[in-house]
Amino acid sequence: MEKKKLKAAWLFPDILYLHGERGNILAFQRIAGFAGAEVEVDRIDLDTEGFDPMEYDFIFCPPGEIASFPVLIEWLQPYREKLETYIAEGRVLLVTGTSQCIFGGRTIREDGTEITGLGLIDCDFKERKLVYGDDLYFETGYGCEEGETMEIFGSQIQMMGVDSREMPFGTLKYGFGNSGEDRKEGSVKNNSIFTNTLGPIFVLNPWLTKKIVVKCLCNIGVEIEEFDFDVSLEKKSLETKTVFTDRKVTRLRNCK
Amino acid sequence: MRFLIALWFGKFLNFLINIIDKTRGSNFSGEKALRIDPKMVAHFKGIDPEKVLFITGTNGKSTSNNLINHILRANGKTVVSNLEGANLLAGVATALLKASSLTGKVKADYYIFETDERFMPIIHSQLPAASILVTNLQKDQVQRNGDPDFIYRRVAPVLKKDIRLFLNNEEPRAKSFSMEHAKVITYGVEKHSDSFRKKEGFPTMACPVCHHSIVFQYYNNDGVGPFYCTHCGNQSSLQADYTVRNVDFEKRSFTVEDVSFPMPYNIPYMLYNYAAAVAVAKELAGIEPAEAAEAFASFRNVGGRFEILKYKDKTIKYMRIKQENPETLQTCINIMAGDQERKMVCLGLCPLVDMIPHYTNTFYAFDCDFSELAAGDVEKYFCFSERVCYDTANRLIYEGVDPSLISIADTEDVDTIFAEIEKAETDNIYMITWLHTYEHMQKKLHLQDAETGKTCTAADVTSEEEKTEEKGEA
Repeated sequence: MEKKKLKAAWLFPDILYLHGERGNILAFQRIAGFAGAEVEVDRIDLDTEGFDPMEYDFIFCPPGEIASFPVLIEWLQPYREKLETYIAEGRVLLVTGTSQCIFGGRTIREDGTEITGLGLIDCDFKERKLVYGDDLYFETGYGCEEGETMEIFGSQIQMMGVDSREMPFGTLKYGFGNSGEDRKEGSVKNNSIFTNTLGPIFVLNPWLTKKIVVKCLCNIGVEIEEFDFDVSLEKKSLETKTVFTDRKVTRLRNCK
Repeated sequence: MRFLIALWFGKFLNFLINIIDKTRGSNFSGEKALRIDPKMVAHFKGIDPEKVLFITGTNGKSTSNNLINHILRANGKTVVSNLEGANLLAGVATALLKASSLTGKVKADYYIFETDERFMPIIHSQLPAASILVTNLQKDQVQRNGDPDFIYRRVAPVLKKDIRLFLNNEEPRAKSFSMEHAKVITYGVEKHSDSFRKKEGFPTMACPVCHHSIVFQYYNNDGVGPFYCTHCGNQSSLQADYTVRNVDFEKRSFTVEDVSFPMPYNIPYMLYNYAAAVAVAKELAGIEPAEAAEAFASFRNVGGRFEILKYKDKTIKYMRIKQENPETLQTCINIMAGDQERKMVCLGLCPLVDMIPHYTNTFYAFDCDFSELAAGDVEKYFCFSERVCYDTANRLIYEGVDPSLISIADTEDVDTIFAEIEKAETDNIYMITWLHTYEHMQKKLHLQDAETGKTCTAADVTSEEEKTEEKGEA
């Protein structure tokens, strides 16, 4: 039987290097492997020539320092239309943490200066004077059957407030989410995810990774049969951390 | 007048603390006195800013401060310092309170303060040090610091003034400050037997100047090594002003400017502290490398980072990491990987309980390369600690560790930890966890020994530590 192949792009791994997000690439490869798919990963950096988003089944953009974004946005600008098509066609882009600013509208920095993003999602951002770090626990219906949801757990190191007019990726059970003022976490546009969840999200939540692998394979016309793998460790992790979250002292009021 | 009231109140508190509990003496009086005079540090008299050095950065502040103090004092200099590690404004205020007269006059040859990188600008606004040593600016305490650029932006405005900078030649953020600065002294470390490369696929970092990629030729510590930016001129100099060379971990020696130095601790990351101390001693205090070398022989660092515990027939080698700090974790991983003997690895990465809210971050472990360790002779892994033990185990599985070699306990209970250690066939046990759990283990052993009459006292632990403070062992 011919091995199924997926192609993934990892955007600017050296520049967007925060919070151990390399784990997401490892998890994507691992879980795609359980589905019988091999993943080829291309590292896209500022020296890459002829980047074509449409060549990829999955694009990952990890978080970085906001100071780096003008350089990256300028580099990505020629590929904006293709990225727009990529999202519109329902391919999967995962953007985590601060890097949502690259794909959104306006980011107002702490010193008052502004960065204009690619405008691919209807979101604006405001850099926070104080960092907010906490657990992030929410449910999402991404890739689920009607009426079903799955629980996602991760960490959040929030450097900016998110004002999103897109559909939220998830509904908070606990955490700061987009603004710390409501239950909205992240944004989702077609199959592309823009989330504040670090952790890395794919490692801690393999049930989400599985949905994404299935979507990626469907997008290339591979009908995937149900595939299972051992998630007992991750389930135990989720269980103990939700107990921890239930009992923790917090100043957040948005999920009360 | 406000200053004098603060001063006398602080001194009175110090007097009381000395009677009641000396362990609370590093910060308390300064903190309270600052409530009376928030600018009191600026009001002490007799301090020549030219004689003041701040030591700031992510890693290595305390050790550098201790070593520099040791060298200067061994060479007859008087120094006012915050050696207890209280590195915020209150810690500096407390040190000055202790050293000052009743009128607030301070008299010393040098004033050397470890300063938290985030609060350094505030301290500098009251005490304008003419010299600043930047050890490195790396990922650390993300819950409050976010990312290294968050700290870089706070530190940079201070360093751009007319200040003499001592900079790590091989750490890209620290070194970048030399680009627009005339009064710079650099220090570095030559390639040595424990220099390493990370497996392909690990990110490096963004250049702090132009935000393109940084390339490391190799690492002496994680995130520290000869480097260049792929776009701008930010790069390590071929030769630092002061370079540790001819590193011999076995013979515990190295050279700087052809002078041979004894190596008090043969742990790779300490080499940068050694280089920095030699540079400061010479440039700030006029102490020649040969004179500094004599002081190295008698240097003892602050405890608690590398310790040895004896438990039954087991030797437990405790290595303390700073949570959320991949560099210190990578250092410990490298030490374990460098030990060719069969070993048990106990990993107690814990939830962060530093500030409200507590949280369960372990993602920094994905910045670290466990491959050498995983390829080595590990009898078993034990992942413990409440809430994050499963994530720790998962990190190992992602490195290719056979899950059957991993045992997990969702607890920090010391009896459970000792019981698991007892099950190991090897007596060579490595333990990484936060200080709190280690201290509980230490206390338990001391109580047990006191009950049985056997001795494994603090003195024994220390002497054992002295004997085995060797690479791969301490």
